[in-house]
Amino acid sequence: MEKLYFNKYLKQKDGLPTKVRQIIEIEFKDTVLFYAMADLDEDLMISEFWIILGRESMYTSNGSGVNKIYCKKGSKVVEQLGTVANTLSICHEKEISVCFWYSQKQNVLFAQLKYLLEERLKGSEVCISSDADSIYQQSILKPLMKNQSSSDVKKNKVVWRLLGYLLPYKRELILGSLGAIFTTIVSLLPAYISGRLIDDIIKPVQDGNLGANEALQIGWVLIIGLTVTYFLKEFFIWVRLKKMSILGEKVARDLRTELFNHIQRLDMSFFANKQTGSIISRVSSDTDRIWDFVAFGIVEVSISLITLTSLALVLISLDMQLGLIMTIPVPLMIFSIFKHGQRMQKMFLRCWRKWAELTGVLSDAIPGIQVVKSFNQEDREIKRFGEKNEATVEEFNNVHEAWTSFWPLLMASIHIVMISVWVVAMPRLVGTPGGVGYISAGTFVSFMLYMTMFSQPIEVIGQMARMLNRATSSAYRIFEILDTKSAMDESTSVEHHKLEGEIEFKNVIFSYDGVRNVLKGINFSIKKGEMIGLVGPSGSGKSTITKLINRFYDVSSGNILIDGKELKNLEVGFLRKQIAVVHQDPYLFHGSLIDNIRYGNEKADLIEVINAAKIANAHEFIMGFKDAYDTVVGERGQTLSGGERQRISIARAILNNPKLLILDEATSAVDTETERKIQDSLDKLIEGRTVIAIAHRLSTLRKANRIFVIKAGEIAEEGTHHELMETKGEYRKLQDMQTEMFNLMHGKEEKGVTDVV
Amino acid sequence: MLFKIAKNMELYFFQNQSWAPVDLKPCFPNSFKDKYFSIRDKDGKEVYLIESLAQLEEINRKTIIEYLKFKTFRFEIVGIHRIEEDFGVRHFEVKTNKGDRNFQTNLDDWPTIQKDGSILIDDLFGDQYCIYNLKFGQKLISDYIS
Repeated sequence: MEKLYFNKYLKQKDGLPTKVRQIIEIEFKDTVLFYAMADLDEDLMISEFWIILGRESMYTSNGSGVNKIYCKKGSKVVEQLGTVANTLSICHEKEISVCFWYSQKQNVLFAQLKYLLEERLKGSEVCISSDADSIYQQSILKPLMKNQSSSDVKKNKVVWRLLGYLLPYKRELILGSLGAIFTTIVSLLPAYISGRLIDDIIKPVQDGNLGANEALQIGWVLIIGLTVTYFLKEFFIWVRLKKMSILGEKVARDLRTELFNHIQRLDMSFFANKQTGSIISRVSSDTDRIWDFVAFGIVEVSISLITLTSLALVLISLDMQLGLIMTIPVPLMIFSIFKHGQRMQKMFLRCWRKWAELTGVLSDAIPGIQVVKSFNQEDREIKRFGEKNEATVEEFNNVHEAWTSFWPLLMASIHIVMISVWVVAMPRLVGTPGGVGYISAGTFVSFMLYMTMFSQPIEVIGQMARMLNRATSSAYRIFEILDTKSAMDESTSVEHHKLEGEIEFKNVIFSYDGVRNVLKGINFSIKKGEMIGLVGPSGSGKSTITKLINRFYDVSSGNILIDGKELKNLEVGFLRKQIAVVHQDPYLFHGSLIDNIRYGNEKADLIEVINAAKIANAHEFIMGFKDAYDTVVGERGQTLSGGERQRISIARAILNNPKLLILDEATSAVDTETERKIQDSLDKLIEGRTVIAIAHRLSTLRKANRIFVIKAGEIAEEGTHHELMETKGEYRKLQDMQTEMFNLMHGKEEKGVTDVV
Repeated sequence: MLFKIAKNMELYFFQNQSWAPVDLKPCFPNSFKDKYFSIRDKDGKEVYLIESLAQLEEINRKTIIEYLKFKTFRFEIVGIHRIEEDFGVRHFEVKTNKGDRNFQTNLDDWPTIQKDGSILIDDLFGDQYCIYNLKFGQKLISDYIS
């Protein structure tokens, strides 16, 4: 599979050239542990240069010859990162021994190479768990694999795949299709009957070859036949519409369910890479378009194709010459419709992009309405929405411009064909009856009526191409998500382990984007029942550590052990049920307070809910509401204050009875009084559990057994509050700064009071 | 002289009578390319702020311009051989000013038009590609510019 990706997508070799490997193994008698490819030269031209780390030495190669690199003692590895171009060099004092130039595509490999070189220069043994080829291929392909859903699926298979969703509903499909087929057949009868009416009744009567009474009798039979035909046609249309509408609804329901279920199972990196508006529109409007397509599109297109084929056969059988004039241009027309469809497909993709941007503004501005209003930025948001709205309309107008220009042209060509038929038919129509080329009035009337029917399916296909394109681009967007695989490999995650609460990080490296390492070799171990404080500047990697424990993401390298067991071997759902996270901005779902408290434990008794709320200091304010625990909170719990929402989320965590508790800035968004209440409830919550608390306010970590100071993805300091205060490092600096801030604010408050007095 | 560059493109800043390795970070890498550059020491602390290249002495300006060629380097696409959409990714085969290259973008990540009218494309790996003037393939990219 990896080779396929390299061959299909990347202009890069899928591994170290065999010749280079052989030289290292045979001539230098070394084993290849790791290698990377520098894809730029010092003039930033695209090139290929291999750097190989053997068990004994380091080598470089341009693909043919191999050079051994000697590093002097005391050498250091220097990395220079640019927007695209980067360098990694080994320097000794002021001398640069060797320098490699590479683009971001190779960045993950070079970050690993840097780490390995530094370890080797320190004299540590380099341990690599996977083979060099796997590391190379997976590191390069990771960003691609994350986005690529299924390389084997071809675009033209989208329609077939979509049609596959009809199969479970064979009954509706068969009844609907029969309705469509009979509608077509019955529709052909009136024109034939009309021709017969002229040739067999009207003309013989006018010529005096048939008596009026006899003619009237045959006429009545034909009129009754016509009436039955029309009724049958409407009946079959009713069957078709009813069955196919229901079928479309069922297919749309299945797609929505499958899509939503799949989205729920995707890992967090998927949500980090996709806009909420874009995901929502796929579940809502895209599935709606599929219904439209299944309910009407498929049948209309099928009927049109059947009608066209039947008409061609009937017309040619009625009159070969005129029939061919009518049917020969049809493939050309259909081809032009196909080309037009391709153009429309691209235009629709642009439209959906604009549409997603528009809904993106909505999902920004509506949840953030409080910020908008507090900064008095309503006009700005109105302008932003207006611009996106205009851009969307403009893009849709381009679509309308394209199909409205195409359609009259198509119809004009149909009319030209019709006029051609008239031109050819006229001399034959007025010729001698029975003579060469003579055509009877009845046959020509039938022909004329069939001709009017001919234009209709072509017209329908013209219009349906638009619907088909909308549906296929919607299906494409739906399948894109359905085919997205979770970046996390859960194949070995099967063990249902009851948490004790011990956690160990072993040289954990992690990157969200596969490029920048947010965690750079974190090592620590936490004992059962211990409370650990994580402090450090924003973006230092504190929250990332907790997300990795929750297994929202997998580590890029290194190991996480829970109670001595590999985290990746534990069943994810079972693990998460035993971990509770109290966030800075807790999310409450639309619904009652009791539903929100019971979110993780639906079966909890009412008394358990009340007790949890009491421990969380939430019971009193809940009872202050008219509907108490049945109070419905808004979309994001807007009717509650920040502190109240926080206490609801703590009650939720208590009810879940977690073994491991993660407090992610749980009190940073509230005032001092609320903080005191929340802290009080948290103190009750942390008893007997392993706790990891992230805090900016160091005062909230007074109960922590140990504190880790995280800086730029590394543990800068570790120890108890007193130990860290004595080392006079980063923690001491933070503590002094906060004390200073507190004194400053305290002073200001006093001054304020004095001023008022 | 305030700045010098080593062969490995390490930038040095002269401060307190000695040369120290620093990093240069453009404050507005896309919107105001020649204004405000933050010079940061190894701990990531700002030690100097260049407001504009024009404020620098000739010798320093030349050094910074030279350094920026590396630091803000982006591939310039001069021609497009092929753009193909597959599930999840948009695949580009292009000719750049530095040679032929293939890259992929997320389907939701479309090229963006910059203030100077150029087109910027971010690929899945974090590499960036800009388009000023195309020798061929204009029609291919036009479908994806909005």
